Amino acid sequence: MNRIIFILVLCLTTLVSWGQAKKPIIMIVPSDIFCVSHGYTTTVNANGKDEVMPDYKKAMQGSDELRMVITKMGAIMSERGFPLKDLEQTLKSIDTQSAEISMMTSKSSSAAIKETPIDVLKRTAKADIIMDIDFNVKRQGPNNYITFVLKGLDAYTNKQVAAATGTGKPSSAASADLLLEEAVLSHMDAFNGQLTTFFNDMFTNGREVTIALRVWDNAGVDFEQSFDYKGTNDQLSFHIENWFTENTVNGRFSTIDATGTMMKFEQVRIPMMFNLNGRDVAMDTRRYINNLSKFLSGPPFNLDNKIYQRGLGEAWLIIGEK
Amino acid sequence: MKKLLFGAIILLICSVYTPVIQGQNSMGASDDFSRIAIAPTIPDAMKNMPKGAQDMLLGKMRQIIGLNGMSALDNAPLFIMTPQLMVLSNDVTPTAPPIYTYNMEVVLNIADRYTGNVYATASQQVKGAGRTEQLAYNNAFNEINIMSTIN
Repeated sequence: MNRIIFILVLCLTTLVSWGQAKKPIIMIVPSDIFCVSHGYTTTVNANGKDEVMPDYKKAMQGSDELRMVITKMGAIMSERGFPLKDLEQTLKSIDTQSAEISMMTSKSSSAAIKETPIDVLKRTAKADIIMDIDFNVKRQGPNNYITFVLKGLDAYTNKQVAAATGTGKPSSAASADLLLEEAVLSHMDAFNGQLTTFFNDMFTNGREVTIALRVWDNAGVDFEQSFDYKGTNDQLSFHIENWFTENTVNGRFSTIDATGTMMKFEQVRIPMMFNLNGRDVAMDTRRYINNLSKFLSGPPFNLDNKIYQRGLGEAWLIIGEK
Repeated sequence: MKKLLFGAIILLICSVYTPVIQGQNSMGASDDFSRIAIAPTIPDAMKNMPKGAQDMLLGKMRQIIGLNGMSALDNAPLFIMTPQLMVLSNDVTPTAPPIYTYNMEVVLNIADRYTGNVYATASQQVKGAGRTEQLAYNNAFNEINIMSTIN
């Protein structure tokens, strides 16, 4: 009996904690191979090279099967407590937003909304977990069958956090839609199980994020410059690494790159919550890197810096000025 | 006596201003003002750029010339302002929707239409982003500061 009560209390505590923490945004996106094989692509020229890129809007408007899969998966995920962000609706919203921004003027002086190229660059569909899906309707004699690949990718660490692949049962009578629905349904629970494991690990060991440090070209300082901090004379890069050791969950992080002008940290485990005026508040990368920003702004470093957030799980700190 | 003094003053004023007025040549084809009139042009090499972006750049050049009181029609006889784009990088992000980005140096040359001699240049580095190539160019050209001095 005691054991049952203990498990119930534990479950309840986890649910309450989850309610407070910042939940990752999940979005289903058709894979590149799906878009290319079905012709939902656009060719662009970047730096003198032609590149074929997926055209998600075309895919959403052209494939009934894709819409059906996304809707079905969205319903299942919502039932399991992971509501999805809809790609099609997000793209529409971005278009509308762009039009609204260009039309907006102030009442007294007709000022337009100030927008830097970076602001424009940021106006894209964003998700923390991308569910990358690819499926094919194949034929074997008189039978149709479905093969599909579903990958759950962490957008910031690029890690595959869940996966499901499978082949549906062949049938000569059932329509492709029905076969697809059956194939997806039979694998969704296993996929969701892996996703839950990932989230639980995040809650126990901290959210895993990526942090990069760079310098402005007029900064007059780099990561190889030496500073005397608390009696230790060392290069700035080592002082920063020491800060990460002291401020990550169990001191867990990996220095992926460190040069005179940039440092990149991956698998940085940041706490899920922090205390603000006696209240537990959810932590995100921007809040976390703000502490590093304050550390570097203070003596003996006195380095002005700019925080640039790439999303819930990645932020940059650029040293030299705001 | 008063009339004599007034007449002398009028005479003095006229004698001072007449040479000044005559210094400004306004004789038809040799008119100083039209001789230094500058016409903005887009070179053939840039005609593959989106039309909207060409118009935007042309408009910016017209504003610069107009601010200095040297505007001419596009088929003006001698001096032209012609742009040169040095694209430092252009990328397309693999996002939904894809975003085009341009980082480029815009060089504006004042040149002789016939000999090609360049008399003055000014440049500015601009960056732009947008959902289409044209929007990215426009976003970048919008950064051209028409009031800035030559650098």
